[in-house]
Amino acid sequence: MREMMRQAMAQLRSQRMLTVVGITGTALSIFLIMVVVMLQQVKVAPYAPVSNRPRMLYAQYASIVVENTPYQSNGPMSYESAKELYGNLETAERSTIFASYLTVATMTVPGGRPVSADMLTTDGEFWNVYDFTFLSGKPYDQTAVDAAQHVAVIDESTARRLFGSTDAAGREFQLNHSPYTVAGVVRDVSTLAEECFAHVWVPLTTTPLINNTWNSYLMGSFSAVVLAKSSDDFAAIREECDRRMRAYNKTVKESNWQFISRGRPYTKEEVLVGQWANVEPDLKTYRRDRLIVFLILLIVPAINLSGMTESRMRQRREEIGVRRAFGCKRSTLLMQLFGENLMITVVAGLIGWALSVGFAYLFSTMLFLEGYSNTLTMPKVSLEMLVQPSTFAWALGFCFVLNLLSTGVPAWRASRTNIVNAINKK
Amino acid sequence: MSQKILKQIRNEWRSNVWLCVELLIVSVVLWYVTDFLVASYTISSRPLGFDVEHCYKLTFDQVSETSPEYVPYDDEGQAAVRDLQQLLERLERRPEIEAVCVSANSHPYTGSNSGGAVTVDTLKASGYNIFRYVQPDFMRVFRYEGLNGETPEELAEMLRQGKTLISANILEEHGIKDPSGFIGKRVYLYEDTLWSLTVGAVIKPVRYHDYKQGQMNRTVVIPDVFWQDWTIRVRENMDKDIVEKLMADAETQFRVGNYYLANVEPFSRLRDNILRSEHTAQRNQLTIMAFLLVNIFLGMLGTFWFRTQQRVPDLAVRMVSGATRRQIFRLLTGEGLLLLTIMTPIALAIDLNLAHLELNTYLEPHGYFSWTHVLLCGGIAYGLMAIMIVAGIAVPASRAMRIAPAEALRDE
Repeated sequence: MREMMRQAMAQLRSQRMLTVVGITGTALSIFLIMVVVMLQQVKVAPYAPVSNRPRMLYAQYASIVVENTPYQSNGPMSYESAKELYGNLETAERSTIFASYLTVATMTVPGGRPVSADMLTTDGEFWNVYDFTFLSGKPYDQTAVDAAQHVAVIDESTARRLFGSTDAAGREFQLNHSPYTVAGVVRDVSTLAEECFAHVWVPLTTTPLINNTWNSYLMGSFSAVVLAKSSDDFAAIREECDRRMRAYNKTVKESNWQFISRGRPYTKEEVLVGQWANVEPDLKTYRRDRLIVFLILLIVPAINLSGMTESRMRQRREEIGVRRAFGCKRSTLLMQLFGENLMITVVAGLIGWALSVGFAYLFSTMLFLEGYSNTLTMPKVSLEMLVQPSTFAWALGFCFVLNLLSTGVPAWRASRTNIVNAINKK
Repeated sequence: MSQKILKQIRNEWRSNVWLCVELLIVSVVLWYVTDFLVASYTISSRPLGFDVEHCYKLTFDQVSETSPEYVPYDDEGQAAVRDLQQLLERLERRPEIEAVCVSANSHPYTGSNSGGAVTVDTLKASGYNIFRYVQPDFMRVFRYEGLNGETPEELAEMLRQGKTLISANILEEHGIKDPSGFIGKRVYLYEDTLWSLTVGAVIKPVRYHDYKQGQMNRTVVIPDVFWQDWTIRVRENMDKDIVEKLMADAETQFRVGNYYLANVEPFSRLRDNILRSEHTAQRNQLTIMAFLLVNIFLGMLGTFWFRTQQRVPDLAVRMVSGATRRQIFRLLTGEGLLLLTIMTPIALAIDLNLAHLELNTYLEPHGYFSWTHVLLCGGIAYGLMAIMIVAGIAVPASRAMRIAPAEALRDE
């Protein structure tokens, strides 16, 4: 092993230019691939307050149809429907129901300027499904929600704007012309935790949104999220949801509308892929498109690198010939050449990975603000979100593939060199 | 000269095959990206048919029933309409505001639409045409223009008379480019034959947004009152701090009955939001383009670094026998450029196939394929790659030429 390292180092030093070109090419390739991976990872990876993401199933929307007609409606549900379809599931740990979109809250304290912020209306379980960090006070529970108590949880920056301090639990203020009391103050949430992001959270029973229903009170403004005990239970949960749907369809028969599942509830990755409420997410096409991007980012640098490896091998033909003459096995040679290059690739890969984390951290606004956004707040990332064990594994995996592609053919050819020709420089 | 280059290429055939494969892949991908970018640029530089500069969207919310400030309305919505009407008049009286209107799913850069089939006289425009339900001043806020030179004010007047406006492209599927002959004829929506409107004028096509092509650019403007989306146009020199000024009066002037002004946002933000995914796609494609070009540079640099080193004595002989630096430079870069030129027809054949399979970007009016477009994008790809090839070879070439001939030929 140490022998190999020494050889690799000597190689690197003897052809400085090739080394620089090779490392730059590899690092650039891994850098771009890792940025692409991160763009998706921040939306599905677990971090506070969405630490439970891998155990979550999402019913952001529902679909209803009138059987044997083209009539259908797709979108958020009413609170009633959400409770019937996803509330208190036996197979799940718990579930929560909250508004499907943000609304604007205008908040004032006597003598202060009005403060506008993004508001999300939720049930009480919301606070058990998402792990917000409370700086002051505590969340409101389901009893407060059922009693339509005017209490609110606000984030750190809103607390500062309204009260000039984060220690605001118990303080009173006006929210959309109704009096509210601060139940708790939480640490600011990144917009990338899009499912629970807001500046203000209030019980869903206290705003007019709950009366915003259509299609015979079946559809409305709410989504549901189911928290499983483990992701192994997903199939069982979906089955129970289907049973619930069949039962609920019987009770709403008179409306003529019938719920259909479209494979809901979805995993976070499916939610990310599904753009429309009326189309089931197409994970296959999404993954194929990503694969094409990865291949383009890998194959072109791999061809470059293999050209350079080839030149390097040619310089070492004599050495290889001598070693073969003294009985070195082909597989040993192949492994050595492969290992030597892997070391270079991994070093370059680490540089690329570190660059990608730094880049993502510095240019998060430009990078992560990708599509339609409900809020004016810009996306922020923390290192906790970017440095995921899984992204690191991906980076190493891509290095390995890149190395396989770029040294495979040259190393294989070099190991098959005719001994006599090699030693005679033919 | 080119014979020499061909011989050079043959001598290094093994590594040249690799270079060719790389050039081929990059050429095809670059063509694809160029096609997308050229299409995006072409579409977005066409006229929009509306103007959102100095325009703002206002949001009015209702206080909750649980609020002590809530006023129960007794009659069926009449009091509510009176309140809304009053808000509208107050906005119209503001000196900064040029025009105000309310509409439903109709203003530019909205994600919600109304639409469906429409029949003009006896001709049906099938599929999903956009219906814009608006108050007359919508024309003044977004400055729609008539095909025959009607001003926004004249168009607003037609809406006031209860007439409908159709866009010039509404009957394009019937090959009609100027439906002015249908002015005064009846228009039926959603294949409903009982209710109809009269065509008042033909307007210039109104695009759904900057990058939208196809059916959603066909428009029917319908006079109606839905108290949903509030939009205003501010006078040209009065944009400064307008959001703050309006919000400052939210609690006094714009607080009527159960309604209050909750938000004012400029259309530039709505526009950015709707177009963001398109701009992200452009950013990503440009990044891939830059990445591939850098790789061509690195590839050429790496390959020719080695090659020119081996060839130093050969180059020295040439220099001794009178070849100028420029000639030698051309000999070296010529090799790379010739490889590119050999691969380009193959790449173009693949590009043409992609266009025929409709895997590239759709661009009106010719669709996925037109010779000029394919060749233009192929040409751009060729040009960009040629620049990178010359740059990549130039570094090792100039290094090789710097060595004095005598030094290089000492061995001989």
